[in-house]
Amino acid sequence: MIIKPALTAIAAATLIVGLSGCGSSATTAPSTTTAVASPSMSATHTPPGAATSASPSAGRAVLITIKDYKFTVPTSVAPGATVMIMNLDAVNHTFTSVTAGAFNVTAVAGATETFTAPSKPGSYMFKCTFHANMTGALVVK
Amino acid sequence: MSTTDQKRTHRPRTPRSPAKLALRALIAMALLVDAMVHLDLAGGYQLAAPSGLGAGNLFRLESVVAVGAAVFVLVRGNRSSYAAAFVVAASALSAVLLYRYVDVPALGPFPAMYEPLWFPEKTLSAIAEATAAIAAGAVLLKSRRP
Repeated sequence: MIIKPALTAIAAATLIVGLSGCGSSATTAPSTTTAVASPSMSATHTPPGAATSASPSAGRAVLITIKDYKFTVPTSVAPGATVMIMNLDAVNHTFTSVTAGAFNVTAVAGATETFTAPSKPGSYMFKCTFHANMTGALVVK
Repeated sequence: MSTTDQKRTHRPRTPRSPAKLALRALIAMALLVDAMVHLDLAGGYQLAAPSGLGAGNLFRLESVVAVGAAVFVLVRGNRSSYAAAFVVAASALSAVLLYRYVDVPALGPFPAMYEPLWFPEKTLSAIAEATAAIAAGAVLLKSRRP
């Protein structure tokens, strides 16, 4: 008679653990979403804490960092290069070309975004649309 | 009507000295500048820090409260209105200085808003808040009852 409630409890506990396991795996699974407005470019978003997967082009990626509301941009990037934007701030930023359509990436707080640099060489002025004081230039050559 | 009643009736509700009128106008103007800057920045800051209430909504709330205090000072110009202006301006100044120099994490409805820099609009609002707080504080101190 005592065995039946015990079995029921074990079954319930197993069900709860199983369900919570499903939930946690769903929230921690890396996801990739498009985050760019320009039709000529592609961008990906890696959530905070998610592992970045290695790809054949990873070694050639250029890194732009955002820290303390400042962009750190390489001297120049090659046309069509893969550019990673790492936002180390606690707030979101954007990496938006002043000339509409060249690039527009939302850099989520603590995450790394990836986009393709413009294929046309030139100096592209950019800004953060959320913080008008954050500006700079991306040289493509 | 007794003499006391007549005195009470004719006593101006608010001091009319030019200096005090100028201070009232200064406090109200400073609060309105503060409100305009916050309202102008609210859209971008809401997208930048949307967690909790969101930075933009807090900015909008600050704008509404600052406009209310400015109108209160202009319309009434009494101790309560100066006290309200002082509280609004001093709290806003404290917040901007706190988030400029201390990396405060998200706390309940308040998102992380650490911003370790000054830029023209932010500086303008901080100066406006300081002006309103100092002027309102000065009026409060001067009109202190014995």
